[in-house]
Amino acid sequence: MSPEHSQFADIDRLIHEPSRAIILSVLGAVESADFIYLAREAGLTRGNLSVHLSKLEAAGYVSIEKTYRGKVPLTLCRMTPAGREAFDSYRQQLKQFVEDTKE
Amino acid sequence: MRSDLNKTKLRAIQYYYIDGTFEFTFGGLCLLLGGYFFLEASVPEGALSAMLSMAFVLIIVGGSTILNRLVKGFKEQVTYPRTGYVDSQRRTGKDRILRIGFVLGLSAIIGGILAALITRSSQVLDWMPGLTAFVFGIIWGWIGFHNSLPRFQVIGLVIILIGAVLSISGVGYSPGLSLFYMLTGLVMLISGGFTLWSYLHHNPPSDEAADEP
Repeated sequence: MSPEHSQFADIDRLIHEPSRAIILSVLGAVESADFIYLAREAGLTRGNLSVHLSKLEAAGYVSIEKTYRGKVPLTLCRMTPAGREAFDSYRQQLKQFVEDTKE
Repeated sequence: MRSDLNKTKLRAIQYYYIDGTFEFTFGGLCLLLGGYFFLEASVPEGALSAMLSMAFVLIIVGGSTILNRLVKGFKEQVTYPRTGYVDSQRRTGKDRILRIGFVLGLSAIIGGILAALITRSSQVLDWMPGLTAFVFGIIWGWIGFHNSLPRFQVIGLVIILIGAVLSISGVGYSPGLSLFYMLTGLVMLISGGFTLWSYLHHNPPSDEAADEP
């Protein structure tokens, strides 16, 4: 593998999945969001979102807190510092790959 | 990617205004102020008038606290279960200090200019509805421009128009301010009501109660 492509081979495959990349891009732009807002903004079904959030939480990229807003239960999701770092690095790698493969 | 992230950030900020409750809060406060200035215009000079002046801060603080609680309760019961909850990114550090400094500085400048004008000529008081409307209109227009909310820019223009008409018609200080706040409150309630109607119409209650992953 050529050196310029080897960097792309190291890309974070957990993030390199469209739904998870979208979830992280939404969470990267806000302080925190609940499950309903996230599903609407990312355009995902609740089931899909749930599966992807679990994977992101297991990797330590997202933290999920179950709380209450008044009497209404709320599942708050936020990006962790590790998640922010990983997402920034992922974006840099993508950008670099586009630059390297420019015609 | 950059513009998409910025759009997501903007949508999170706009989300706060999605259900019209911001207009309801402000409109309710304006109606309270309208009532206050109406009483001020009606009550003759004396002990009651002095008490009314002292109650001004109480009305503002108490009114906004109650209205904020109502809006918070409304959002918890209606908005969040329908379209979710989001906390937009807070400004921190130098950026936040600069913003607070800008708001305080601008308030001091506007207050200073008004005080200087009033001490020069009491006739300026008759122009208070117009001057207040101008400041309010600019603030609403700025919020609308900054957050890409055209309805706020329209509200800003309407407020300026109301103030200009009241000042030109020469209704005077207290009656003018009373009318200004009441009409502004009415405009806010109409805008808030229409926005809420549109929001509820486009976002019916969801059958899926679970918000858990």
